[in-house]
Amino acid sequence: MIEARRISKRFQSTSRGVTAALHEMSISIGDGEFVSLVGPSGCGKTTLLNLVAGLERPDDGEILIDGKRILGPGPDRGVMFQDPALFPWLSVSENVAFGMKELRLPRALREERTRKYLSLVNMSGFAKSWVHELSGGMKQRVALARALALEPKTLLMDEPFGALDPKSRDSLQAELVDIWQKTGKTILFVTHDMAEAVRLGSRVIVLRARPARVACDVDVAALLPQPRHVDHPEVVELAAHLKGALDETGEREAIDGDGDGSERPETHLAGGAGGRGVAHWLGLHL
Amino acid sequence: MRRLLVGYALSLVGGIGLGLALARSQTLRDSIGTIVTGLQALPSICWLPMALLWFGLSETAILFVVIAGSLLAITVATEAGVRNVPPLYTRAARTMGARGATLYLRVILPAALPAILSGMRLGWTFAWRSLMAGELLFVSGGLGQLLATGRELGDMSRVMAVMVAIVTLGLITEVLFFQRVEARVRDLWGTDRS
Repeated sequence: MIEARRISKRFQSTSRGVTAALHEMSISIGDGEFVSLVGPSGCGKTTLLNLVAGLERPDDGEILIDGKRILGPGPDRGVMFQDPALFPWLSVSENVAFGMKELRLPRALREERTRKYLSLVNMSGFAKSWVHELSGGMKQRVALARALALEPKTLLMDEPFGALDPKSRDSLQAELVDIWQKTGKTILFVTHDMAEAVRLGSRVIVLRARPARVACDVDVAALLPQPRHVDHPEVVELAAHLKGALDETGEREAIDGDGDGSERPETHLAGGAGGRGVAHWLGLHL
Repeated sequence: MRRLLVGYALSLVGGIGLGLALARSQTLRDSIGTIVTGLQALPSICWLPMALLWFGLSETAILFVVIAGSLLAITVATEAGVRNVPPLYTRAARTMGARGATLYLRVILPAALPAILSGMRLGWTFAWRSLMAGELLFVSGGLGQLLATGRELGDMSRVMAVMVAIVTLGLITEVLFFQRVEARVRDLWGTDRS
């Protein structure tokens, strides 16, 4: 259980002064959920992920994991970035074993888990390869194995497939869902691609920028069973509706001038005025 | 040769240590950063008078000149290398539990290795030159003194022979050590491709 309670994060930049990346946002994520966090750039989704990862501290509010406040990075949370960030001076298997060595796990266990997770991401044949010998998609597979090797309860993923070609992206998406179903991990997946968010998540949280807040929160699992595919008409349609809902709330906001910055989600599943798009869509399909 | 190796080894340890410290601490950069840059402009042989006053006509004096010649080159390269380590490496390592000393040993130093290597190479050349200059200027044995003796005796063949010996030694370390290591590092880092 991950709970963000009224967290705020501001950044100081020389050109634009202080920018509020997050303002009193509250989100709660249950165990075993696959949450896609989606929104336009500048909506604070990456900031939120970094806060949960413990790489940054919130200015106000707190984030709890199973009731405990996050004070820094920890092996209970595996993180994947858009860049694989593998270490070129280590071989593939040494990369996967990096965190386990840091935790001083016994060698036999390290080797066993390295094998297990490399085979889970279909990279068994490359254990001895060097990082520069791999393609972009293969590097991300290794990065996923590296994150899984510490057997974290939670996986935090920051647009991990954003820089991949469509084919690799497609197969990695399918494998990720597969791994999620097998392992029951909690996954927080940040993306700016609405179709990817809908295709992967059991729940999709749409954020709106400036000030960042939750625009809608949709229980996709209840609507569309896995396996889904980004090309499935239902996925395309739901993604389009969510995009519409995002624009709609954005416009409404601009007209009302409602800038109180509360964390109240404007659209709950099939509820709230801004959710008409989704509600309408549900009416058609359920 | 022993002077060179000992001096260089001390320079390596001191240079990398000082470089790490400078990269880590803003206060340190503010306070001694300028001095480091300034002293780099000083040819190492200019340290010789000071070294002679401090240590006398001794082994220590020549060692001091060798270290003064090579330490700062290594320091500056290490500092730049460490500060240019992609922050993403550090972030990724931190999410896997790396902290403090292990973070430096297992991530930051290896990541900065290409830059540190070019500093080491430069440092080696400087150490070698300082040694020769030092040996030429005061009697202490070694190749430099052999060269000086050749000059005094007007023995051109001896002078040439020593010069050839110096060039050969330089080539050997360059080809056998630095080029191999650098090629290996470039290969691993994948900087040869794309």
